[in-house]
Amino acid sequence: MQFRAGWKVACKFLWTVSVGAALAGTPALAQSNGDGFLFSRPHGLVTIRTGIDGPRADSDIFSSFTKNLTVDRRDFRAFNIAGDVAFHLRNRLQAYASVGQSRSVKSSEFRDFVDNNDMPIEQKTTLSRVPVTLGAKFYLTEPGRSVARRAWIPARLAPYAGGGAGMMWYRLTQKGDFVDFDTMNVFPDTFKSSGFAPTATAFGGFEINVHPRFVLNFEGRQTWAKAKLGRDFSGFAPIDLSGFAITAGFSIRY
Amino acid sequence: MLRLMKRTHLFLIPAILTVFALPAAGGTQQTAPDPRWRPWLGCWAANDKGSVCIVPSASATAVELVTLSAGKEVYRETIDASGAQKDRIFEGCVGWETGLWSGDGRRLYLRSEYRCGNASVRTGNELFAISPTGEWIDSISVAVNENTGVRTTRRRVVPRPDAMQAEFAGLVPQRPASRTDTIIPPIGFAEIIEASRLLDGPVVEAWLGLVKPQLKVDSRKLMELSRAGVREGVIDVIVALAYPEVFRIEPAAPAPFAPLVAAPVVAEPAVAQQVVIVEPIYSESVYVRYPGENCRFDLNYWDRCDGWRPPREVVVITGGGKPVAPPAPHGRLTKEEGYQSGESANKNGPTKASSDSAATESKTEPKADSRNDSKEATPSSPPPAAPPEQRTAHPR
Repeated sequence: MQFRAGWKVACKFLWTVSVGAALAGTPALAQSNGDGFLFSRPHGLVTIRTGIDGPRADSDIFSSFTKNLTVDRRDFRAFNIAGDVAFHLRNRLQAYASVGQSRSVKSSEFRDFVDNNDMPIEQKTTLSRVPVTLGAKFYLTEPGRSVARRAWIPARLAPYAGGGAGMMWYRLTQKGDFVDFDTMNVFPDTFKSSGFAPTATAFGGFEINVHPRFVLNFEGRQTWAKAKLGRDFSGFAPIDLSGFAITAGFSIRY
Repeated sequence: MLRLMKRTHLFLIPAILTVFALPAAGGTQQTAPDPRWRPWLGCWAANDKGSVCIVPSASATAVELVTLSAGKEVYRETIDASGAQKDRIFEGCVGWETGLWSGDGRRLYLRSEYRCGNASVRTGNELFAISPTGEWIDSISVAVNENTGVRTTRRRVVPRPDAMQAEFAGLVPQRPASRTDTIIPPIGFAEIIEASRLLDGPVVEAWLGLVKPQLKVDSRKLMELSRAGVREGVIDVIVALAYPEVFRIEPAAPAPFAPLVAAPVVAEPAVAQQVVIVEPIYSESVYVRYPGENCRFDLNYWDRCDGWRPPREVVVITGGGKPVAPPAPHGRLTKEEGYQSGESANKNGPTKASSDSAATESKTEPKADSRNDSKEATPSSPPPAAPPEQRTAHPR
């Protein structure tokens, strides 16, 4: 449910971006650039990306969830939104700072138990991840070319790859009713764990030029992170926060 | 420090003192003291062990501080607030002391320094102030090389002993217990900056923590205080005073005549000679203004030092000023045993409070018992509300 809602938002966002790009050819915007070129090489890009973020969910805490609750690892897929700021270092090389956010909410019930009224024992599991990374982005082909001193013409297609490192904040929450396996009593509670973990990322994608100032962006990004769990989740290995995200976005050259 | 040394002289050479010092006190022609001394003139006590009287002296800028035990004078020293730095030499230690009134004449700043042959430097800072409730706040810090001890004493006015009546005769009336008239105008940032410039931070912190001036601070004011050299600990206290709903300040000293709180039992007192300021001169400490030899400025021993302690953090974050409620029963998910309620987690793990389990137990009463209880109620009175039914799980 959460994932579908997020995808709808992403589609609306991309539609808005496309309209914006179409409007970019208006005379007002054209004053900051020539017809199909900029008057100077851009300093960098500001990008907003949205898409799907699928956590790998490969640690034993997720196994516990999937074993006891009507939860599947794929249920932790989430709508993702991210923002990047990049600036040119050399011809094809950019440095960037990126922050993203994804949040999955999954309603579930105990697989093997119902309560004394034969009603399901329900709870909700929420996983939020916010990676903040710094890194480098390398264009596999020239993203544009300078012509004389007063014109920079963007390439129609610019594939790239890159990587970075940083910190990821996460929060795992389970709220609802649970079965005490000692007493078989049903009790309401909220279990929480949050914290920071070092993270690394690698990505690849391509940019489609739609205007001298505006770019459509398509990217795949792998993230690696593991974090310790709080006291509410005792005896488990660090939670696996790694995942792969596919995003589409919109960039502005500045 | 000088006063201390004077005391030591007196006890080391009691004959000389008896002949020299006492006649000096009794026979000196008293002069009307500086009006700024008036709030202090009288007798004071922090507890029922003894008292201290401040009486006029031969100099208008100075008073005599008389220590009494069981109503008898045991020591007398002069405190001069002329602002002049007076050089002293004592047992090879060269030093000085000075007493300076605050700009508004409401507080007295006392400072001293001694350099001894073994290169140790002993500095003292002391503040006399009157609190809004009329208490005499006496906060002092003594630093010996890198070691620092702080002591704050709160005293209130007590009746003058008969032995001291002559000292006050015809000079000043007995001061009322409440002296709030003496603290107008209220303490502001200028006064704090002034005190911080002249005294150690812990002394100023103790004073502010007891007087509790009402202050409003913003980022600009804090920057001004920082630029003015106000120490971080003092600024912390100022912030805490401005936001009492967030912070609490531990009083630097108990109220006068407050019941003593038993000090924690620690190992035998350790003697650290490098911080000994003076040998003890009283078998019963009634007014020892400097640490004795069985005292060192250590976290574990300060309670044996007659009120002396190392400088410490006095600002406590109170979590919004609201009383902290006991944690609600809270369970956990363990890898081995799965989900556990707060009750079970308390049994199996050390992290939960016992009150938690009690609350959970009341909540987990069996359903059958609840029904029986309601059936036994008499028809004339409505049955008591049954406790909520305990929800249990069973396999599908």
